[in-house]
Amino acid sequence: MTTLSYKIRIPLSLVAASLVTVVVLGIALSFEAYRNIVQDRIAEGKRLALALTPVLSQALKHDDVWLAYSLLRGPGPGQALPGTQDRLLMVLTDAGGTIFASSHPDGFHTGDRLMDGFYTRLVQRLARAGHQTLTAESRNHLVLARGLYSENTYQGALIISYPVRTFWARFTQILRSGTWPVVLVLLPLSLLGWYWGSYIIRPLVELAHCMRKLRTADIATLECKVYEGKDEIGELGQQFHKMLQGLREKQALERQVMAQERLAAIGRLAAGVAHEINNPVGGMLVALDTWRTRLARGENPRPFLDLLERGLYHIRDTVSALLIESRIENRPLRQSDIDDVRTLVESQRGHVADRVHWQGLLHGELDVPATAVRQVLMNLVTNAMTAVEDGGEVRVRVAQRDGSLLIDVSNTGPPIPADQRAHIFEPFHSLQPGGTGLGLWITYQIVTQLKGRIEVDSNRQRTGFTITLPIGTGHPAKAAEEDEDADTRISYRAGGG
Amino acid sequence: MDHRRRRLLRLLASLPLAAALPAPARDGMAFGLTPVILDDQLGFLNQWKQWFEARLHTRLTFVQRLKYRDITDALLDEQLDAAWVCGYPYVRNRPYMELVAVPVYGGKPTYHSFIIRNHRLEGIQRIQQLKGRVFAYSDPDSNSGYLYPTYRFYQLGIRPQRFFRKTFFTWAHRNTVDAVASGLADAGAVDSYIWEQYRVHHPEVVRNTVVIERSPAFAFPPIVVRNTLPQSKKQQLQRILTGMTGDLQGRLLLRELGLDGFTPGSDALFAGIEGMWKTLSAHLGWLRQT
Repeated sequence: MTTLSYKIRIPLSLVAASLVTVVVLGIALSFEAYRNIVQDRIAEGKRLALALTPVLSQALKHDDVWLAYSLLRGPGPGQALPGTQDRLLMVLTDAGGTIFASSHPDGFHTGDRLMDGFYTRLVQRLARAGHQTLTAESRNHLVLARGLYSENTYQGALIISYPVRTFWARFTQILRSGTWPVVLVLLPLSLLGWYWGSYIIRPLVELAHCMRKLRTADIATLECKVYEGKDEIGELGQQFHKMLQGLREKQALERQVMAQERLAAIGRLAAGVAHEINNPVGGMLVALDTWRTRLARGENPRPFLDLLERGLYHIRDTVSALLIESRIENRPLRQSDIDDVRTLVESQRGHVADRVHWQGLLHGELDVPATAVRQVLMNLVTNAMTAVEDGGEVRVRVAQRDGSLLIDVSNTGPPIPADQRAHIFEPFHSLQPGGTGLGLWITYQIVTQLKGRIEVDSNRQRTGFTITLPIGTGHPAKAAEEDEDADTRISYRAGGG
Repeated sequence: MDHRRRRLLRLLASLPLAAALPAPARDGMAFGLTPVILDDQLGFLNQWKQWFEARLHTRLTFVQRLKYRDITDALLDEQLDAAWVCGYPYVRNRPYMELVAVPVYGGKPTYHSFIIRNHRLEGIQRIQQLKGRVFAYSDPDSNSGYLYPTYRFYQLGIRPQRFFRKTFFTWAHRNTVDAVASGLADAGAVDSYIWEQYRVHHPEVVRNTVVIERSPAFAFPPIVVRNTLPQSKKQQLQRILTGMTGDLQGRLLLRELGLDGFTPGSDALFAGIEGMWKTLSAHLGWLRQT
């Protein structure tokens, strides 16, 4: 039932309610009708007994069997014949309980003793009943009995017995004649119930329809006509409208905030780039000024040129760090690449190396760009090792699963503060003093280009980065060709982080 | 009984009655009917009455009573002029009645008494087997429905009051047939003519009865007049009745009645009935039992 739509349930309930009402009413009326039939028969039997008493009394007195029989058998010799079982049974007994005459001589024969226990008991009760008519019901008969008296002397008894099935015949006749009106009433009542139920439930159905549309349609353009009356469903409609309005406002606000954040990210990026370039450029300008005087004094320009060269390399490295694609080659990944990364990081930071636990083993070659994976892994492991400088340990797991490469690097160091989490993948945003702020940004760019996924989870117990890279789909060279405008790409990706 | 003595008796009998109840001055003829015929066919009676009136040139009234005795008494009281009575009351009241005509039935002016039983009592083929049963007579003044069966019981040495569990009167032959057919009575004595006629009209009822004994032939219930009726009227009635076969309508009416016609008849016809009456009268105890 609960899976059935209210669109069906409510009208169906109303139809069922009218059906049940009519049926219950019908049953009650039928019972009443049956009771009335029985009551009518009792009243009729009492009248009949009363009417027959004087003549039957006379027949008993004069020993006139024929007179009694002609009264009891009713009209016509044809009807007096056996075979018509459903006729009223009337038996007249004398004072000694012998049958004097009956309407059914074949069953209640003149001169026989009254044998039926039910009737004899009733006749015995008559002795105490005096001039009353007694009524008794057996399974198949409704029986009335009345004593006959001549000057207060008991002469005999008249028994009138109605077969119960004649009541049923009358009852079914009444039922049959009553069925059509009931059907005629029930039909329009059901239709009305169905219509009324549909009418009541329509606003709720419309509301549900609108809410379903909310999932797929654009909130801003969603057009919905909802009933907004003063009843409960109307209130729901009003609330829905308010909710829709609120959602629209929220969406607008979010878009605005997003645009602002994007602008802010671009600003931060520009400032970072400017800062990274300005640092060496500033140093080089100072060196240039110093060396201009030294050259005038004829000093060797070589140290100056070296300085200038390192400065320019620094700038180039900084810029090329922003252009990730050019550095990605397409060489398949092996377990040896993972081992290289392990050797490099352990040589750099030997004092925490024994707190780094490596897990997983790759078999054969995987169609994933090896350099990109090396860079990503190195960035994440270096970061993790930095995080556990003051205690804690690192877990590194590289594994192949379901057509993907899974890289999971976690540490038990201090968690990433909540306000920083949204910005960790932005360039020049460093969590550690002295960091370039490019490691995670580069990692993010590489993973995105390889159509992978990066997830961060940071709490008091651990901070973990999980990277999933699809095997055999990453062709970053193509992606680079498709998207040549580096500025747009960077700003977009920064915003996306 | 010789003629003179009968006349004297009649005179003696009529004198006090005539003094106390002078015959009512009335037009036409009062005709009594008893259940010796199926007297409930009012349509037929109406036709017969018209047929009679056309020939009598006076009004005719059919009078019906519950019991034979009522008709006999009314005739003796001169409330009736004529009546169709049973042979038994006729032989008993011969001083006060004159025979007009005897119906001819099956070519003869006679009929029988049938002892019938309910069709379900298949084992019973003789009267002697009816011991402990319920027996129905028609009328105490009926020959076939009472006199003959009583005489027959006497012949067989059966005392009805002890032999039967119960006996009762139905007051009409057709009622006896109904009583036996329905099982109210196990057996009964009935007029053969009525039984046959009833069978024609209601075979579904008569089918439930079986004749187990038929009596010798007795004079058919006669049509009589009171002895005080002028001879001219008696003769007129006799002429009309015996001439019924002479006209078409009369023949149709006779066919309705199931009779061949009427014959003047004679007292000798009733010797059989009279003999039984006298025999039983000599043993009055037999009659008083019932």
